Order: sequence, then C-alpha cells, then structure tokens
Amino acid sequence: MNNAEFRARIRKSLADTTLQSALDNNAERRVTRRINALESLPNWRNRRQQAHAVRAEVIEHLDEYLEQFVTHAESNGVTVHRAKDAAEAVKIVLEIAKSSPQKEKSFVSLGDLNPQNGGRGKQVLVAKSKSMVTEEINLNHALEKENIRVVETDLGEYIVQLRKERPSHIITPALHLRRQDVGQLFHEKLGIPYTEDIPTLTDTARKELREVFLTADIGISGANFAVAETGGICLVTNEGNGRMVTTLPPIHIALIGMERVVRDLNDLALMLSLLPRSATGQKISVYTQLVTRPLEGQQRHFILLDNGRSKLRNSPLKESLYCIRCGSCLNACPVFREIGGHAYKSIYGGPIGSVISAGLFGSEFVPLAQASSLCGACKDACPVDIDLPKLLVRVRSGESPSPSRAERSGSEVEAGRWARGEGGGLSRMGKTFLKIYSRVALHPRLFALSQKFASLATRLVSPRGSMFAIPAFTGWGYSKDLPRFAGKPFRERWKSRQVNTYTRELVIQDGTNARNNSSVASLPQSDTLV
Amino acid sequence: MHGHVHHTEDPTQSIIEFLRSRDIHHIHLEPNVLDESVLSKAGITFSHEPDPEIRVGVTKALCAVADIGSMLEADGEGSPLHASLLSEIHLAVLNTSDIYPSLENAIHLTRHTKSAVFITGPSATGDIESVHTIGVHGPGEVHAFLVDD
Repeated sequence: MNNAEFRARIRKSLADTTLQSALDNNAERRVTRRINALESLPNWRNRRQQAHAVRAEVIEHLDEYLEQFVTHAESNGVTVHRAKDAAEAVKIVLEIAKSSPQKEKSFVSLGDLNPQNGGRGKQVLVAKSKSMVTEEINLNHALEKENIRVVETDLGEYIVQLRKERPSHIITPALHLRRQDVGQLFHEKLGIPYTEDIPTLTDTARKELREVFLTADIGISGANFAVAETGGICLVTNEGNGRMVTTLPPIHIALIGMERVVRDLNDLALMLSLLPRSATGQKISVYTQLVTRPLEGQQRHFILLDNGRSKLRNSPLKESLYCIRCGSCLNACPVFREIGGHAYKSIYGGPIGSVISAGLFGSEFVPLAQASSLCGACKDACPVDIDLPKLLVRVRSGESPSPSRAERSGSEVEAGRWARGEGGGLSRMGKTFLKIYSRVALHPRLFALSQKFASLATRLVSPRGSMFAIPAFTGWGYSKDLPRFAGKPFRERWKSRQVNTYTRELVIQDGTNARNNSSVASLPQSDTLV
Repeated sequence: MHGHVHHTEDPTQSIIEFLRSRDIHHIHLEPNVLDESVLSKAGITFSHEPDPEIRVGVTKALCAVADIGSMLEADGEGSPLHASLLSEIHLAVLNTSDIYPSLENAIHLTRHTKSAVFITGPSATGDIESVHTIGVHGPGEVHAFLVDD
C-alpha cells in the first residue's frame, strides 16, 4: 500500500457517514469505561510497571520460555507445532483438517438432535472463536479454498463474516457498524424481520450458531496467553463461543502468536488484572479459560506462529512484542477514532498496528506510521507501558526489520530501499524537501536567506489572503491551508525586541512613571502587527 | 456482575424450590453435588450427560474469587464444563470456605485441571455498538447457592 492508496482510504473513511457515526457512538464510551475499571484496581500504576517488566523479561528470553511451554504442553498430551510463517501455519491446519475423522458425535445425546447432520456430506465444518492471529494469516480464505466450511462464532466476527469484510478493531470487530446495519444484514442474510433491537439480534446469532458448535468437526481458537510453567493457554472471552470451540468438537486447534508467553500463573494473574480492564472496561471477562490438557476423546493442537515476530524481536521495534492486544491504544488514538480500522488496510490498525504491520507484513505498511500526531495518548493508555510514539518515530526513520515479503519475492531492491528507508512512508517529494530543509537548517546564513525567500514565495502564491495552500504535487498540506510566512522573520523581530526590552529596563531603573513604562512595553506588541 | 446469590443451608432444597418457581423438571446435574434421592422424590429428573435441550445445569464451583465475583469450574465427571455452558440457566453450589480473596490465590487451583474456566456472571457481548447485552452463547442467568460451612 503506497502513500496515495493510504490517503485515498483515509478520505473514503472520513466521507463515510455511517462509519463516522458508528465511531462517534463507540469511542468516548470505551475510553471512559477503561479509565473507571483501572481506577478500581488498587495501585494499578505499579501493576502497569510490573507488567512491563514481566513482558520485557519474557521477550528478552523468549526462546527459553517457549521451550518450557512446548515441553510442558507436550507432556500434557497436546500436539505442538511451530510455524515460521503464514503459509506454514495454514499448511499445518489443513493437514490436521484432512486427517480429521468425519464427525462421529462425541456426545451420543447430541447426535439425535441433529438429524440433518448426515446431509452435510463430506465437507469439514470448522467453528472458530475470535483470533487475530488467524486473521493475520488469512486462514479462513485458505480453508474455504480447500472446500472446508468455516464459521466465525464471535458475534462481531460473525457479523463481519456475513458482510464479507474483515474486522475493523482487534477487540470489537464490528466497531464500524451501527445497529441498523446489523439489523439490515440479518434481515437479508438470515431472513429475520428487520429489527434494531440488539437483544433480538444477539438471540438470532445464538440460535444460528448453536447448530454450528454441536456439529463442528474442528474448533479453532486463538490464545491470549501461553503459560510456560503449565504448558496451558489462557483465553479471555465474554460470549461463551470460546468455551464451545475448545470443548465440543473432537479436535481443538489454538493458533498462538509466539510472543504470547508468560512465565507462570502469577504473571498470568497480573496480566489478567490489566487486560480485560483495558480492553472492555471489565474487572474480569465473563469467561477466563485455562486450557491445558485434551479432554476425553479430544485432540488438542497448539500452533506457535512466528510470521515476522523473531525479526521484530531483533529490531529496534522489539518493545512492540510486549503488546497484549487489548486495543486500548486504538480507542485512545485521535487518528484511529476518525478514520476507523479499515483505513489501515492491515488487520492490525491504530498505533500498535502501525508499528507491527510493517514488520509482520512488509514495507508497504510503513506509511501507516505517518497516521499519528505523536500526541502520546497511546502510550498513556497502554497497560504494559509500551512507548508507542518512540516506536512510530522509529518506523518513520526506517528502522523496521526487513520485510518478509521482500524476502519471499526475492526483491533485493525493495529490501534495500526499506533498510535505508529514512522518512519511511513519506512521498519521494516529501523526502526531497526534508533533505533540502535539513541542509539549509544546518547553515545559519543559508537559513536566514531561505526565510526571506519563503516569505516572498508565499506572497507570490497567495498575494491577497493571509493564508496559502501548499501546491498539491508536494503531497503535503492537502487537508489544510497554512498562514503566510511573515515579511520580517522572527530572528529580526527578536533583535528589535531585545533593543526595546533593554530600553524598558533602563526606564524602570530610572524610576520613570508607569505611563511611560507601559508605552515602552507596548512597543514589541505593535511590532507583531508588521 | 449480573449474577445472583442465594444463601442456603440445604442446597438441594433451595434448588428444588428454584426449579419449581421456573416450572423446570429436568436438569443436567454434576454427580455428588445434590442429594439425588431427594431430587427424585420431588419429581425432578436429571442427567449426568451434556444435552443442549436441557434448560438448567447444576454444578459445584471449585472456588470463587471475592474481589471480581468469579466462580471456577473445571472438567470432570458429569461434564460440569458443559452443564455451565449449554444450559440457559447455570446454578452453582459454592461453599463459603472456598472463597478466595483474589485471582492471584485462586488461579493455582487450575493447575491440575484439563480445562478450567473462571465464570463471572452470565454470557454477554458488547459487539453491537458497545452495548452490554446479556445471554449470547452461554447461560443468560447464573446463580450461586452459597452454603456456609
């Protein structure tokens, strides 16, 4: 995605009135809820620092903790797979799916309830609970290509899947929609009478998806945390679909980003005190699952996914791996709140997405880091205190790891440009201007001369008004006009001001009366009118 | 947390009364939680197998967490994981001695389970306009029957 495409997506989002009203409805409420929930936690600021330290320790010694996790998971009877990229992860899932026995019901009593079950033919049915990692590797698409039926069972994901879209937020996938949109969608796709009543819509999804849980051959989930000490994973959900897909189908597969590891149950408890509060403003989610061993008659698979994480870890963006995917930096970001998740194109939007997308998916996502005012709201909101503004600046200055994408396509040119890439995400014209500017700014005389020139130039561009528009070809200022450069640069005014101040001090020392004093003091003000 | 708590000295009797008030006569019951002969005499039939047609699931909570209002359920005989998931109403029997102050203490009880879950109120979602809506895939009602031991 180049700059122009990103800008086009931003413009489209800003012009989309449905999206704008959906974003406005959600944003403030979510921020307030998060703050209230955190304030209910004694010493949450200390916990935040503790959590930062815990994540730093794990990422520092990731190989060691992963090894522990794998050893314990395997001794628990779980089959553990390691996937170095998306393609490998997809291949592993497909292999498991192909070897899956066509469903004999694990519960005899359930079979009788599904007489239509026999009519499904040989198509494998996968019930999925929400997982950003599976979105990251585009798993659904790959499974559908192999004639496997995949059904998203989280309400938000289900809505998004019915609309043939992708999630617009890592916690609430349907953040970009209003209840009217969902009502219309369910009316068209599920044949219910149009309604805007949220409980009715929710109940419709419950009925539709119940059947899927009971007849699925495979359940696929993500994982919020992987506990090295026990070899189990932790899943944090509210609806109950996560529990269904991990306990009902005869095969459960969890896709786990390899940075999800925590050391032990104590660290997990610490993380659990921060994650739901930051994500949804809940003290704890409705269901906090610890999934460790396979149930009777069940196969359990854990797939640990790298997909660029090792590279991020060995780059100046390492801190981004501390992220626990709560989404609070998205909710806090003034840019995200205006443009929504889809504008970013990457499945990971907002501040954290703008840092990791380039590292995970390739240099085409570098421009995302420009969509930030570096105001720091993301850092303040982060429950593990990731210095996101610092990382965004690093992406801009070309410090991201070389993209796996360039490597895959063997494009040395792209990788090279990326590695050098200072000014990542800027247009060529923008970079040229910045280069010229940095030359000029380093030479005082040249700088003074350029000020005179700038004033003259803006007067020529805009002879009448006090504002001027930067010419479109520069790629800058397309959304706002700027004030004209002053005829007399600040340095010159400063000089004359110093003279005035000097005079004034003399006057005061001389004990001259207040009237004289104020008239002298007002001189610099009149100067500003020049 | 939108759950309900009933203090009781006799959980079997309290649950029978609850079921009568809802006109429910068949439940999914975890073994060794209630007095099954008393249930039968009261005309309540029960199954130890998961069955999505059954409206009420009765389990024993392994423990509860005071500061966040959660109860712990784990896999075991009679599928308590499903009794607390597939039914519309989940009734959990909880001993006061099994209440822990915080998650930091309680989480260690999960160590020897295959699959465990801290349940905090009824199934819920905020996926449409961030409006809190109760009762998605799991039970829409959760009741704890608290036995002072």
